[in-house]
Amino acid sequence: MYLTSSELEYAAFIIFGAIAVASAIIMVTQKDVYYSAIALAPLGFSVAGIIAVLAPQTYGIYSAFHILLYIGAAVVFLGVSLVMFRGIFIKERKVNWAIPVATLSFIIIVISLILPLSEISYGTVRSVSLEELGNIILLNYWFPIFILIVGLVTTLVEALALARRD
Amino acid sequence: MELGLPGVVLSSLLVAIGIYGLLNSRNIIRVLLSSEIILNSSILFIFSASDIVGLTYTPIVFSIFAIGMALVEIIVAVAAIILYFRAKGNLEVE
Repeated sequence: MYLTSSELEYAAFIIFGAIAVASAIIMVTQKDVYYSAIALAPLGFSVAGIIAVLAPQTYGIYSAFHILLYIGAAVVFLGVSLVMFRGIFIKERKVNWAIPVATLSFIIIVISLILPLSEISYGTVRSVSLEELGNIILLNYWFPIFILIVGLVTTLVEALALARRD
Repeated sequence: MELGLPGVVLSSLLVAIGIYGLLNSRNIIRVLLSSEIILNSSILFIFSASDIVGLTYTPIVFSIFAIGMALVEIIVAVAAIILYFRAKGNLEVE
């Protein structure tokens, strides 16, 4: 018995979704801060996988960006930086109303997002070319790119200042 | 593939988990990680909604900027956490 491509995409969505939810729960319940930070990597991978499954020809390119930039840079930096806090355990605040508030916010968000979006008929997305994406970013969005570069340079200066320690 | 609506539901679930993490901890690192869960869920929502509406380049461009700024935010936050730990000797916030 073979699965169709549609069934395979549904199966991949369910598997990635389960990994995302499980790693998010580990992140908010794990006592050790280091392992809590490491759980961000499977969350990022599964989010990238879900985005790729949504429209592989269109959003697949962003999934690669997500894995390279977010997991390859941000999560690895976070993991390496937090090695020094390994063994420090988190004290729970024990807020009794945290679960009801989280459940209520889930219900409100789902209702407020699903109702308007369910009335829209599915549009068609087209294939993305890297050349066209680069042209759009550099020609139409040059100012946000400039701000992003300034931000990254600022963090570099900040990291140097922190490393000097005096 | 009509996976946009399940993607929106999943992103809402991730937001709820992130809110639970924000409310239930006094640890500064867990607060940062909970906000990262919410960031990931918002990116997932952008793509799920764009899949429904039919936007091609807009979610990619916006999410690239969001991920770049998240990278900057993580580096600044980790630097602040290290300084906080040096000053206070613990990672708890009141």
